[in-house]
Amino acid sequence: MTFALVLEQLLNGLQYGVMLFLMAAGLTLVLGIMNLVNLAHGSLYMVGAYLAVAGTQWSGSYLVGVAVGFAGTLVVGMAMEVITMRPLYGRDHLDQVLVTFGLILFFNELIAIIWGRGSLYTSLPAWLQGHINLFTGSRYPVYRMVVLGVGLAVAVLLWYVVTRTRLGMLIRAGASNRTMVAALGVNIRLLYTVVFGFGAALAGLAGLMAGPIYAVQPGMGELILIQVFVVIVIGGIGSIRGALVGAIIVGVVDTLGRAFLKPVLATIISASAAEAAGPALASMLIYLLMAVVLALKPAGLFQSR
Amino acid sequence: MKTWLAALLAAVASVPAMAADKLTLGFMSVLSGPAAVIGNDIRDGMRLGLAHVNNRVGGLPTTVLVEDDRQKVEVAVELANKFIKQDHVDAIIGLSFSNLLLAIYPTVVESQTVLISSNPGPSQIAGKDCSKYFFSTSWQGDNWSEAMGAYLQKAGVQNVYILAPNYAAGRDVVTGFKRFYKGKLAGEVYTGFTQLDFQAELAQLRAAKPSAVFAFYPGGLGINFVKQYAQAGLKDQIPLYTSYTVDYTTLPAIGEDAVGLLRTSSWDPDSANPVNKRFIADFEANSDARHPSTPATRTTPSCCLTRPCARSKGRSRTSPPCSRRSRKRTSHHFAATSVSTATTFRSSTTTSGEWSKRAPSCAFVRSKSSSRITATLTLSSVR
Repeated sequence: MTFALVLEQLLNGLQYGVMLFLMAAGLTLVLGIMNLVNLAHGSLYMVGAYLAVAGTQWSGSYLVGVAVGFAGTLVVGMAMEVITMRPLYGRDHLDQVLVTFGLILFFNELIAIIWGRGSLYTSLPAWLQGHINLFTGSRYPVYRMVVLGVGLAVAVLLWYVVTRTRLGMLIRAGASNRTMVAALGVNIRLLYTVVFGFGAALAGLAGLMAGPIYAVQPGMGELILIQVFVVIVIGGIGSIRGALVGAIIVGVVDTLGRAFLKPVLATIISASAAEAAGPALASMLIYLLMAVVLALKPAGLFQSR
Repeated sequence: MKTWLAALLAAVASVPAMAADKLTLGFMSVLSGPAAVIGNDIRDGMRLGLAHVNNRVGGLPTTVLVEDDRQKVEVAVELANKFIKQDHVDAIIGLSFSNLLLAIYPTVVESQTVLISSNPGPSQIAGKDCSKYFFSTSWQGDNWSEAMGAYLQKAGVQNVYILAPNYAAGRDVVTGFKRFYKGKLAGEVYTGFTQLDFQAELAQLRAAKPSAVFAFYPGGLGINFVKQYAQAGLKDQIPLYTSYTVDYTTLPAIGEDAVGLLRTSSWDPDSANPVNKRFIADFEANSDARHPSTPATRTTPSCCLTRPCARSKGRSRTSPPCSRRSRKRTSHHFAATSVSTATTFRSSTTTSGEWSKRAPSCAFVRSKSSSRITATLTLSSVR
């Protein structure tokens, strides 16, 4: 277990963490401000990936594909909000779960009808391929560094918007006390649509960045959505700072756990027992972490209200 | 080719009239998700095989019911039950994954329905679970990796790092590899069956400093693994050897990253026999210029294989397909001979062929086939 290995796994964890953050940011805002449980957030992730693939195939350029994916998911998100979410704002969480679950099924079938059930594979442009040499001597893929960079840039941008602009002020106010914001005469419907749309666009960005790493297939969003919920529960609902911290923690703990738990266990118990127990425990690790955080701070690490 | 058709007709004509008047086959394979590259090829190979016999397998008009098992065990079991109890199929064919095959195996053989596998060949069925209703037109999972193990052993490569997914075929492949590779292992890692991101495992691999890597990742897993291996800068540092990973289902997606990799196989498009050439030409014509792959070659003979079953419908089955010679000889596999016809399936033409310029976006992959596979199905002509 050398320093080079630990550093490489840390980078992997951070990269996974920022991808979780992109999805968690939108979801936590939607849940915090609009009090809306949106299970279809994973479907927006999938829509972003598919639109990016379609855009790249149609135009031949990777960047055009990225733009199509981002803008397309923004439009789909806002349309989804206007058509299906508006009747749900006052209602019980269970009703919202039912509707958004239906949306998951709808999007999965729609994608399967248009693009088929098999996975789509795209190749990256030449400037994103290959590796860079780290100072420790090992190599790291260029693309994952770019994903990490984009995620951190979005985090900074979000921080700027939320803390330094009027829109951000309204978002924070809405997360604290929705009724008062409406009573003060702010166009709350427009605010909701904008927040939902940008949350969807961020999820789409996560999806289109994840596409070349994982497989672009119907149902790809559901797997990551579970971990995103863990992130927002740990970070605190409604708090973007909590989403960032929670996502980094979950990403790093999950990756380091999968990488190092087995060898660490092998020093304590026998090697064959560690072989069986290691991966099982590693996959449970983030849920154990969530349980511990909830036991100590029931509202999550950063509370917004 | 003409002799093949002639033998077919002769065989059919020489058999007395049968009890049944049509044939129903249940086809199930993975047609969604990352592994759909394999399932789609198996299905298209099957359709081509049917077209080559004019939809009359064994002289009987044949219907094939195509279903998607979505790589899920519960769906596969449900489909098997549906085929047997509801559709009353004469044989179940297709199948892409060993764990799904093992899941439906007890149900199907207990109902005395013929089960023909085009892809997986779990070692359990070659041994104690052998049944006279099971045929395989492909291989036993160990075979191609045995060849790779023997090759690396002969080449004097030491310190190999092994990676495979954690399921029945993954374990079979690694067992086959270790049967002939007797050198030191730098590591033996089993990843999750649906895990698509190997970055953590690649970091571990790099830290272990092996001199070679052997990997088995079928379908979409292989696409992701090879691409990530290349992106991590490992391809020019540590040579990668694979079985069932870089093949014609995954090469279009892997692209340039496959250049220079060595793999073992029992079929290659450059095999210069006329049946193979006809197969490739028709496959490309029928499936939008997609190039055929090994799984596709495995199902075309599968349709030919059901001919003895068709003829013996209503009578007792002919001799069992899986050899009961010895369970200790675990390197044996299924010799699919049909006893009552002139058509036998001989060993494949072993070649070290170069992938020619036909394939899109791939320049050169040297394939070295196994010399141990003695009775593998291929599209050889009748003697």
